Amino acid sequence: MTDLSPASSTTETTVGFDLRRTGNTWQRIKEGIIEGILFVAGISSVVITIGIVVVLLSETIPFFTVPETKTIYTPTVEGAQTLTISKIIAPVGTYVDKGAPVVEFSSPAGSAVLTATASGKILKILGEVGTTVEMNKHLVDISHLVTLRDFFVDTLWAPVFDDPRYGIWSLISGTLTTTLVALFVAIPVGTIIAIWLSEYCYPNVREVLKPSLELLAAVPTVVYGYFALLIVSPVMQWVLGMFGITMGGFNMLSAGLVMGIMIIPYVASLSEDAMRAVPIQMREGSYAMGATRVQTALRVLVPASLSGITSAYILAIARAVGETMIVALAAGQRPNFTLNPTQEAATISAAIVQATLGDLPHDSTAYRAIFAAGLMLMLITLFFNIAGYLIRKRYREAY
Amino acid sequence: MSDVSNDKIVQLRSQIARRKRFDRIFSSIGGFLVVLSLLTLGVLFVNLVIDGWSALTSTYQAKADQSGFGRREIIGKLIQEGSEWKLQLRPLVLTDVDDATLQPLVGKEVGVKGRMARAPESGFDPSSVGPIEGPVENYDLVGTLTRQQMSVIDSQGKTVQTAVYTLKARPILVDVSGIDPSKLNPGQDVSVDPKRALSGGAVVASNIVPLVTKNFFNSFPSRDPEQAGILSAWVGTLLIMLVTMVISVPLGVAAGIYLEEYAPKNKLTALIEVNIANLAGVPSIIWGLLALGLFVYIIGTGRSIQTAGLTLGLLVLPIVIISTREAIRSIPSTIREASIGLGATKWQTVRYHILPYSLPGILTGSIIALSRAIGETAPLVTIGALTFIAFLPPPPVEYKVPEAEWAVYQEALKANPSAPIPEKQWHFQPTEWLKSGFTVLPIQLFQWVSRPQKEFHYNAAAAGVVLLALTLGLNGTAIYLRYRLRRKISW
Repeated sequence: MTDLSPASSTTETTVGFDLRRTGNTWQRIKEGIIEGILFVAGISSVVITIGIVVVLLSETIPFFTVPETKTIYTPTVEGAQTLTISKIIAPVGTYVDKGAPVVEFSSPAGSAVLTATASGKILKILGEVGTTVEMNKHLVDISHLVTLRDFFVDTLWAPVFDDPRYGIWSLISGTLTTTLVALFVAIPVGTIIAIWLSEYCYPNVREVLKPSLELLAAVPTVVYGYFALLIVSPVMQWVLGMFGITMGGFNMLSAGLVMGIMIIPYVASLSEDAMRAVPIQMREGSYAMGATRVQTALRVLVPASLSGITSAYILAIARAVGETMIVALAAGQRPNFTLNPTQEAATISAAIVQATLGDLPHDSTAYRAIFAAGLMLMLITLFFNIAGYLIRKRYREAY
Repeated sequence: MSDVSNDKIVQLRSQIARRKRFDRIFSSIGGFLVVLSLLTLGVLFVNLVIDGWSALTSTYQAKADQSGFGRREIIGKLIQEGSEWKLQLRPLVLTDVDDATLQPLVGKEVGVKGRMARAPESGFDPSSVGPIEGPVENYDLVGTLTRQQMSVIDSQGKTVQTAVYTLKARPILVDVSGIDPSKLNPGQDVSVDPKRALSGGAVVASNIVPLVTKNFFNSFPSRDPEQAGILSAWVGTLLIMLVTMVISVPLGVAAGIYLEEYAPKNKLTALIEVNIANLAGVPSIIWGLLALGLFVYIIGTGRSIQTAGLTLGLLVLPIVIISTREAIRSIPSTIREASIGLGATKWQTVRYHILPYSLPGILTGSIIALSRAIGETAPLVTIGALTFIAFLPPPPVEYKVPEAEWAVYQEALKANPSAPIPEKQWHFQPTEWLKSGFTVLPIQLFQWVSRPQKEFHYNAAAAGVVLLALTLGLNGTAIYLRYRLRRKISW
């Protein structure tokens, strides 16, 4: 770089030259700064994803590694007011399994054995052999660790019970049932609509109908929840009542049906895009062989655009799995291990909503449990998203 | 054709007819399903409007100071006669009356004394109504009595005839001493507590509370479904959308420009692209957990408007990025090449060509993002917004008594009832509203639907109409913009 000080700029040409050089340098710096800012914006989505994963893991890992203290109360013996500790079977510091005896009592009315309500290490026993305790009083503390087995094998989700349970399957069953009901509606209806829009409809009518159908996905889900609970559910109760089936006001059937309506545009719109991407020659070839429109659609277009249609289905599944407000309102918020759609049950998302509605103490195991459930939901949707991406990539027909 | 038998032709023809019939049936099924889907949307909207209509349109009168009505409130209208102020009470309905004692008084001037109320509607014990004896000043109210026969359905469901008396009171004098009369408006509806304010046929002006007409849009949520409204909800929605847009649009557009114009073809770019696609598929409840775990507990922004706006801003970010990229991608590369060819730098090309030409697409995407954010409920429930919010966030500039001085004044008032009221001051608090608690339309709706009472469901329907009109309106605008601008631009 030449000297830029005004003193050395003796002639006009030098001044012009120098100014231009200065301008270019500043321009380059400016371009560099702008590119840097844009890069930061571009990378922000990765940072957000890392943030989500870190937050979910930072609560899920303590959920499985930090033990919670469980209290066990003295048993009741009919006819007795107080009990005397006659023997401590599992002293402080020993490990007990769920259901193992911990303390033995005697009383005039009879004897009793206190059993552990959870597995873990005995932290504290409030009383020694020979002391008298009242019934139903806090006696033993057990340091209990939620294990993967508790999470994946148990079939009850009840984090705020006295004897908390964290069986994720009762939530997965609700998620699965509502999603299946939704797909039962959305896949046939959405696919037929897609074929109809791409093969039967006039192009200018399609230009109006397609965005109008997409409005179905734009309706706020809480409004759909209102619709499912207060309109669809009574109608379904009446319809099923004619077949002699009674159903409560909260049921997975209504929630699933409305969720199905919500995801119709995901199926229809994306499948239609895929079908229209099939080259016109294939269509014309089919017509030339004397096929009707429906034959062309079902035997040529659907197989040719199968990757696009499948990824549309998978997107719709991911959307249904993660849907919250419809199920929280219409399917009830009580975890229930069942696949019967006429029953009330909570999905993973509804359980999270239900837990956050109450006042969950931060740093409690119940608080961490919703993050563990959230991670589970995230993994399920991620699985479907990646599967859709791979199917699209692998089976894409190149024309 | 000669070697094809007649039977074969007939068979082929019927086969063709069958195929064509199937084709027609399929066509009508498809059309029927499209209509049915759109009809669902229509039914949903019409149903919401029918259920919510009464809540949307009804108005009620409330005290301007929001203290709520007592059970024995008297409502009247202020009138000015010369320099005198008077209160014209609304006709008072007397219930639970003894027909035999009151019937002779019908059409005559009567006086009311002993205002301790028994009947909740009127605030007057009907047994204190009697003919005027002595000076009128001895009575609290003077007026004429009318009687009407009415059919009323009693508790057993039988229709019974009952007498209903109405007392049309003469205007009562308002004692305006010690109050600035210019603050009183002739014709204003006001409320008076009879137990405290009314004595000797006059009412003290300081005990009068003006009434205002309220509706669904300017009332706070309430335990009384008739008076519950969405004021705090729509203000919250508006403010949160402001924060959401301020975060998501600049960030999303910048990210879109980077990916389309600057990003080299490498693994990092591929990662960002896959990542954005995945981020768009993250369930909204997960964003709520992110907000709860990161913003509320780690960063400590609280259960506030800024947390909600930030969360929704990040939630709709992928929508803005994807629509920006699509808009930029539709600009032909010749535009770029021409700009570079004329000596423009990369940023100049983006600033003067790419951005202006992709602006319609970016605008459409931002509107879609906004409509998505307006309807989001789950992440905000997770943050913990589901509370009874009967206040508005503090405005950026406020003229009020400082809180510390107000507390001192409240203390002083206990010892000395005539303590001077501290002076109001201008407060500049431009970011204070960001830290305020909030509620939004979808959460208000969720709360109302969750209640067992039918009346609250009507309120929920009314909130649903507003919410649906907002989202469908925004989406309609986006569709219209896309359609119009696409026709206008030709490369």
